[in-house]
Amino acid sequence: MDSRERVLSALNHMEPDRVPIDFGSFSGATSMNVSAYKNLLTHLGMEREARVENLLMFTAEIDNDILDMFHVDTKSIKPSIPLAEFNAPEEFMYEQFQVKWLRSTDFTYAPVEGPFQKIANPTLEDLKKFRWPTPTELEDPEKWREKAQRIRQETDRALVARMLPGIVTHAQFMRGFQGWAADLYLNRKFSDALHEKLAELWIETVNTLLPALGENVDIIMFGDDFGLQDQPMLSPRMFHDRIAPLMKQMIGGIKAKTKAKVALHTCGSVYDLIDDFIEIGIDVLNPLQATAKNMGPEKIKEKAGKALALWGGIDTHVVLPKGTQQDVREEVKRKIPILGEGGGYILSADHNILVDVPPENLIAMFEAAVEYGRY
Amino acid sequence: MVNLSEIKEAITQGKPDDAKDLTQRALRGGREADQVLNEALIPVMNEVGEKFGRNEIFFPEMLVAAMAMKDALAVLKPILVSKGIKGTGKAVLGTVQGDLHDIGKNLVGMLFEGAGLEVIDLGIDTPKEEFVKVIRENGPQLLGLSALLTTTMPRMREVISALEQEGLREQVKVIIGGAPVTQEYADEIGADGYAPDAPSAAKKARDLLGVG
Repeated sequence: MDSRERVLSALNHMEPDRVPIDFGSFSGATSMNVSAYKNLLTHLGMEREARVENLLMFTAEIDNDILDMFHVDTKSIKPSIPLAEFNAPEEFMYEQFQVKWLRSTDFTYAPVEGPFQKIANPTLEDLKKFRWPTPTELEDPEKWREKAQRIRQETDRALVARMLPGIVTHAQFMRGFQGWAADLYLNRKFSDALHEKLAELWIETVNTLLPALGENVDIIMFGDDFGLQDQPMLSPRMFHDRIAPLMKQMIGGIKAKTKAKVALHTCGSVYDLIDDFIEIGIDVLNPLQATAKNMGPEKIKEKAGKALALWGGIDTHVVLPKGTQQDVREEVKRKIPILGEGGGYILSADHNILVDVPPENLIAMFEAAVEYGRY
Repeated sequence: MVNLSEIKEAITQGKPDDAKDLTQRALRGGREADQVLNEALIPVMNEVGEKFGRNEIFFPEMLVAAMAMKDALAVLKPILVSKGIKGTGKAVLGTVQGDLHDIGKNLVGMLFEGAGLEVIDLGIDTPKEEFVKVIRENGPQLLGLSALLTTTMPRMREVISALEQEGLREQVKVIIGGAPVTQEYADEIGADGYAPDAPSAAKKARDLLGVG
């Protein structure tokens, strides 16, 4: 069984030979901070220039030899750039949406000011006046086409295409988190119109990419965070009424054009939204944030395991950064039989690996995944 | 006369304009500012926080309630100040150096204000020297530190050490929070309290200041 078959089998809720392993195929959240990646390479006695795959997350493209070493079954087809080209500035603009990002001391970035954030009560006129990016300014289909074709030839891994983050995340980038939340009640017209505009742009952008990818993609994945640590960011009712219908259009558009599975990355406690995720056509749920409320393996598998394949679950808050290698092995050993029962599970850390995770712990996670992942 | 329950209702419903308007009318009708604060604003924000803790309401509902409370409070403030009525106490808040996340901290700030505290919010990416300086100058009873990243959490310990070195540790209670933070970590670094979410932070603050 090759890697792609292993992944597809798991996604179709059948038990493969072992639990498939992901590392870096979704640069938004299953990858590794570039500085941490450089530390890993040094630890392994390797020297090379890292490539940046996701500027906002400052995550690396994980190279094929590293994926081989850790028995990884997935690979991203998102275009990347050399680190020297980005150079990790203290601040930068996410040009297409005019959002300012600042660097933290650990070389992660956070959005600090969006174009609608300083406006007290933005109007539909403000939305109209904004110079929205075109789909090809957001993604270059030719670069994607070339990379997807090349990687399909180079490896037998399942190919993952990371699409633009979704409508809630972008609305928060552009309006600030608090502005976004307040608008849901106090400026509903603008809130709905912003979500609708973002959904429309997202669909157009994905539509320009899908023909370029053709058969060279197995999973279409995008992130849209709906969870805080202890509950969803908005009420399940409001999600159902105002966000889910737009997402259904977004996902329906993909499904009409490709056989690829659709995976949603959404952090935090999203247990209460799972019925809607299933209803709008999501196939795979990531990252099963281990320390978030109601996201433990037993609970999630029972609630979502039949309809959704699950992806992630290995704790990056406590176990990976602070635990011993033995703790990491125990974490993997405990979760695999629960999440992996009957297939339907891809193992990965529950977020990007940052500089505080010792390389030994990361390696222990991959070794344990192979050891305990056999069906 | 405006019934205090109407003000509470406007806040619960997240209607800033109504909350402000009703508060103004209550004062015009002869209500005392400290009565509106103590019998409407503080208890209703306490209820809102508890509902959030029980997942009966979510972030947006709590935010708009806090915004409504803030607008009502702004009407009361000049009167409270002119009458020399002191609040529950003073709190300094900030996200530690190197960390740019502030959603949780901002919410804690609003609920602290809803609990009657005066809040000095130092924002994100705050160096320990800044905490020391502001605490020395303002003499708050409470310091709230926030970190979202596992990699910036250790800065919390450094702030506490800096306060010890400067002889300021005894005069201020320190509470910490943020997704990766635990009670165990709070104990380890010698913080006075830990709160897993914003409403518990407000409750913890009241407990620590003995204003239950």
